[in-house]
Formats: sequence, structure tokens, C-alpha cells
Amino acid sequence: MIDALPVHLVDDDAGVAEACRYLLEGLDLEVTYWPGGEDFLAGADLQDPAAVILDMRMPGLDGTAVHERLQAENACLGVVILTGHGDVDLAVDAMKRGAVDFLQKPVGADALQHALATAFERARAHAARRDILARAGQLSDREREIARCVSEGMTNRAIAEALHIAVRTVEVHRARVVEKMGAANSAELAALWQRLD
Amino acid sequence: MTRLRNKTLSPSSGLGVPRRIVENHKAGTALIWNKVFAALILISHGLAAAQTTPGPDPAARVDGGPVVVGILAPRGEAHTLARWQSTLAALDEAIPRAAFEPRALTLDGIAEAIAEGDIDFVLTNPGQFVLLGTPYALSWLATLRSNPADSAREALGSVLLVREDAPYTSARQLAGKRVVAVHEQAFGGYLLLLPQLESAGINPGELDLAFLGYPVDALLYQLRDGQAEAAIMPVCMLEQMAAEGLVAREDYRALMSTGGLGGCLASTPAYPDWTFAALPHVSEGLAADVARVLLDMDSPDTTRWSAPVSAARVATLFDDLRLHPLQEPLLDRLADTLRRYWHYTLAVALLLVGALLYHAWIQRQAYRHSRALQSTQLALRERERELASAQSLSVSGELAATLAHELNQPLAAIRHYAEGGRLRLERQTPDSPLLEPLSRIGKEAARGAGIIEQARQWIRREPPEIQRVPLDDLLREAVALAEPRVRRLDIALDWQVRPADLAACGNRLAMEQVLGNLINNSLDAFEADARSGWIRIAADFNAETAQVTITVADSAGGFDTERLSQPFTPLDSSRAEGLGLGLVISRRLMQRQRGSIEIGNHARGGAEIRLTLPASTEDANP
Repeated sequence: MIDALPVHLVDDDAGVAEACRYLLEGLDLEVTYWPGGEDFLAGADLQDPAAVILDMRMPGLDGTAVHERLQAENACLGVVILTGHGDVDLAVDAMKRGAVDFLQKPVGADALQHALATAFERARAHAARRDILARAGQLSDREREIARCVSEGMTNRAIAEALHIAVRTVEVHRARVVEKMGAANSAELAALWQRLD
Repeated sequence: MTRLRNKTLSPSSGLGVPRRIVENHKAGTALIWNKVFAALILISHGLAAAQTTPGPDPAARVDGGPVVVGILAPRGEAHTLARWQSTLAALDEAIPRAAFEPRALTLDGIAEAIAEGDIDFVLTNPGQFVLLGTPYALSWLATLRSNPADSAREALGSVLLVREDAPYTSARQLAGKRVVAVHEQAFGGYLLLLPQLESAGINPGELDLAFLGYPVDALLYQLRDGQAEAAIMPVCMLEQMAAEGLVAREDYRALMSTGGLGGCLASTPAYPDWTFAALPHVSEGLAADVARVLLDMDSPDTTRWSAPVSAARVATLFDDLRLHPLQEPLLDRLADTLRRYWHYTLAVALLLVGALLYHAWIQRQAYRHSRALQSTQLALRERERELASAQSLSVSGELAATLAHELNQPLAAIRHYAEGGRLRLERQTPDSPLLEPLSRIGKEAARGAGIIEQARQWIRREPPEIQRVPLDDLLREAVALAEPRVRRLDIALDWQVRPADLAACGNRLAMEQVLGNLINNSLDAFEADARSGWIRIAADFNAETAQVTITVADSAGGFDTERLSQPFTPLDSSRAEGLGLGLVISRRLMQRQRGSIEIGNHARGGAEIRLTLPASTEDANP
């Protein structure tokens, strides 16, 4: 699988989990198995972009509870819900909470692959947004203002007039903002900034 | 009241004398006509009831015609005619203008003859005089003085005879034995003995009494022959029959003996002898002549008479026996009293009617109550059935879901291995013949899982209808359903709803099912430990969340920590029996109503389960 991320597998049924790991490894994925929700939340790095396959029915913390904790911690994970029961209510709730997909056991390789691809994408997007936010956090107020103006497509002159500063000053700030945000050019900066809103 | 009193004096009632015409009288059509005539008179007297002196106008028979003397015949007609022949002959001789004619009669016959006016004079015992004398205005002319004591005042009595060799020493021993007597109205017989028996503490009903009628001789013969154990006879009858050579005097003895009367055995005090009387229609002259002749008779071979003796003692005796003709019957006296105090009577009657009506009303209320109770019971039982059926559906649904889940796991593993194997093989040996079977294994596992899912979907019921559930009502019914078990286990179960009109959005049946499961869980815990305690159910409104919470707490010890960590795991009952599905089903039911359930323990050593549902804000029932 191209651009694969690590996969967390959270399931209390070790037998099924082992089989699932065998399948996932058949897809060349790196799999970490967690026998329960508590173990997973305590042991995994939730900020490391990855996908998690979460069983809904577990003793102790069940899938729903784990999912809520991930939301609360703003984890950088794409969540695929896995259950033995195609419980519509649970599925709807999970999707509302931001799960990528809802799969019913026994899941086939294709469906799993598809869901995981989406989950990776989601995890990456989440990670990227988190990076942008982190970089944006390093900008000064003036730089932030100029970045906003750039994302709105204003020319340097227009920005200088709006902010009552020299055009040259705008150019200096703009170069620093592009650099701080890790963008290649002003167009990329505008695209990044738009993702923040 | 005159009317009523007179009625009792008429011959048709009050005397206790049977109106039967006895056959030792002359037969023939005249008798029949007499009977009819007498009956008409009796009826007319009974109806008119105003005359104290009954009988037809009888002047015709006096002066020249035959004068009929009715004579009581205790020993039969022949004996009687022989006995009184000399007396009548003396009368005939002394009073030539009248032809005296004796007529032997029984006790009933005398009463009948007087009532009909068939006779002009009567010769009978003092008992009959008291009974008949006043009502028929008889004139007493002379009292007999013929007995061995030679006294008119102390002549008659009764004797209770047994055989000399009989084992009886007291009259009490005769209980259940056959005792013979002439008639219950026979004066010198049963009637006189009755007070003696009663004062000796003997209820005549205890004796096997037989009334044989006249002649009296028959009584003694029955006693002699062992057909009776005792005989009630007139005094001196035994001695007289012995003198006539009919029986042996020494073969008999008296019970309750009073020491004898003129040399005869006796069981009662002595009463006056027979009396000769004139009926009211007899002229004064004839009556006076007859009296004079009787009193003048004094030769040893004829009967002797004295002036009429008072019958006061006889009347007293009858009073005691409640037979006196002048005594108003109890019922009449009662009626009289009731009429005199009619307002009290009315008040009592009204009270009685009121009491009756009240009683009927109470009965009706009780009937209604029991009907209402019955229908409540029926409704409760119906509800119980519904709940049981819902619970069994829930149980089967939950079992199916559990089974589906458990089967699904190995199917999932099979599919995963098959798919994983295929993926690997595809990379290493893309043309391997194993690829196809591996793919098939995966698909078959998926198909199996699909069948299970279909079955599960089929068992799963429609989501429950969400309605307004008034909690006061809900808890009342849930508690009522648990009541028999609660009472049996001696559990104090109380509940409250604050505010009283609190209502939830949920499903009534599902809520009852959940509450039933929780209460039964508590009761199971109490029962398992064989202890009693309390269960408290409280429904409260949470204004912040606009939710209703129903808390069910008990004092049965609570859940252990292991159970608390996984309270909703099916097939994991802490009980020996049962599937442990109660909590699982309760949770599912709560979830399907958009509610929740939390399991916990409270500090005082017991379980506390909290149900949450959205509150219903509607004022009226939808």
C-alpha cells in the first residue's frame, strides 16, 4: 500500500485480532495490537499519525468510549470502527463523531484496504493542519495579519495601504511568513492559510 | 281490642281442644248434619267472634222433651252408662216433666257437643270445666263426692304407674321409654302429671309418649303386658280395676308418689272431683231442680254430691300450663302492646327497615369493591403476562445477538486468515492454484456471517414507540407487579416521584420491563442471602439536562467489583440460575429509548442503579 501509516488494532478478542493482523500484514502494513481500550490509550502515541481499527464491543472501555477519548485528546488518528453488529445507531453516532468508516466483521481485504486508505488520508490531513497551526502559532500579530491579507489575494501595495505601512516592509514580512509557514511561495501560503479557517 | 280477645274465646280457637267428633256416639246422617251445622257455627263464630255464649236457641228441648246429659266416658260407653244409671234414674224420678238421657262422650266429644248445643247438662272432670265453663257460660250445679276419700275437694289426681318388678326408681329413668296415657288434655292423667314431671326436671319430650285414648283400662293392660314401661292413669283407677278383679293391685307401684289419695296410689296433689253443670239454655227452674235432686242423693249405693267446689286451683294449674281460656295468647298480647304503643312500634319498624336498607347498601358496596378489586387484579395479571412476553422476547433477542457475536468472531478470523493468505500468495506465486480456494474460503466465511446477520436483523424488533410516560403511574404499577414477591420476602419497598406529575419520554412497556428487571435483581439478591431489607425507587427531574432520573437502590449488599467492571456482559450471572441477561436487556431497552443506565453501589451497602430518560414537557397526554 502506497503511503501507508502505522495501524493500531484494538480488539479484546485475541483470536480475531491475530487473524486481522495476519490480513493487515498481508497488505504490508505495520500493525500494533492492543487487547483493550485502556492499554491502547495509555500505550500508543496519539499524536503520531496513524490509523486505528477500533472494536466497538469490549469490556471496560468500549469502542465508543475510546473514540470519545481520542476526540477529546485531538488525536492524530484516522478511526475505523469495527463491530460484530451492524448496529445502525452506533454507526451513526460513530460517524458523527468523526470516524472514517464503519466496518462489519468479518471484513474483507478490499473494504479494509479502502477504509484504511481514507483513514491514513484523514490522519495525514489532521497532522498537516496541526503543523500549520503550530507554525501559525509562531507568527507575530503583524505577520499573521499579512498572512491573512495574502490568503485573500491582496497585492503588496494594497496590503501596505490597508495596514498603513511601507510596501517594502510588507515585502520583508511576507518573505518571513512564507518561510515560517514552510511554504514554497505566496500561493502555497495562501492555500495553507485557507485550510486554517 | 275487644274483637281480638273475643276471638280467643270462641270455640274455634284458643282451647287446645281438638274438634274431632268421636265415634262412640250414635251414628247416622244426623251426625253428618250435626257436623256440617257445627262447622258452620264454628266458622261464623270465628268470623263474627263477638258472642261469648255460643249455641243455638235450645229452649225447645226443655219442658217435656228429652234432656240430654253429656257424660265424660273414661272407661267406655257401657261402663259409663252403668256407672251413672242410678243418678239419671233418680233425676227421672224426681223430675217427671223431663226425660233424662245419658250420652257418653270423649273429651273432644264433650267440647264438640257443648259447642253444638247438642246437650243440656254436662258431667265431666274439673279440667274440662275450667276450659269450657267460662266460654260457654256453664252453670255449676254440684260436685261429685264418690271417691274413697269421700271428699269433693280432694278427689282427682294422676298416678305414674310402673310394674312392681321394673327397675325404675325415678321418673327420670323413663327417658326414651314408652309411656302410655289417654290424651294430652286428660285432666286426671297427663295434664295433672305434666307440672309434676316438669318440676322434677323431666322434659316430656324425652319420654316416648303414646296417647291411646279411652278406655283407660287399656293403659294398664299395656303396662301389664310389657308393651309400655309406664302408664299415666287417674288415681284409684288401678284400685278400682283390682277390685273388679281385672288386675292385681300389688303388681304395680307409683313413681313420684305423693303418699296416696284416699288409699289409692298417687303421683300428683288432689284436685276437685267431677262436676255436674247446666248449659245456659237450660231454664233456671230445671237447673235448680236437678241441683236439689243431686244434693239430696245420699244412699250408699248411689252416687253422692256436694255443693260446687271452686275450681280455682285447677285454673291456677292451667295458668301454669298456659292453657287457661281467659289468658290471652302471647301473640295477641304482643299485638295489643304494639298497637297501644304504635309510635314506638312505628319507630322500631322504621329502624328495622332502615337497618335492612343499610345492610343491603353495605352489601352492594362490598360487592362493588370486590368487583373493582377483581378487575384490578385481572388488569395486573394481564400486564404481568405482557411483561413476561416482552421479557422473553428480549431474552431470545439478546441470546441471538450474543450468539451472533460469538459466532461472528471465528468467522471473522477465518476470513481474515483466508484473505491475508491470499494476499501473500498473490505476491509470491501469482499463478498458484491455492489462490482460488483461499478466495472461496474468505467468501464462504462472509456468507456465513451474512446469514447470522440476517437472522439477527429478523429477531430484532421495531424500535419502540416513544410516548409520554407519567412516572407516578409507571412506578405504582411496577411496584404492584412486584408486590407478591416483596411481601413474601418481607422487603420494605417504597417509592416517590418529585414532582408528582413528572413524566418521561420513553416507552411504557420497556420502562416497566427495565424496572421489573431491576426490582427482581434486588429481590433475587435478598432471596439468595435469605435476608430482608429495603428497596427505594425515586424519580427526580434534572432541570439542567431536562432529564428524568429514576434511581433504584437496595440494601442487598451491592455488586462486587468484578461485576461492576463489566456489568453488561451477558451470560455472566452472579446467580446460580438465570442467564444474567437482566442488566444487558435493561441497557439495550434504555438505549433504544434514547436513555441510559448506570450501575453502581451506594455507601450504605447496596446496589444503586440510575436510569436516565429525556423528560416529557408536554402537559397533556399525547
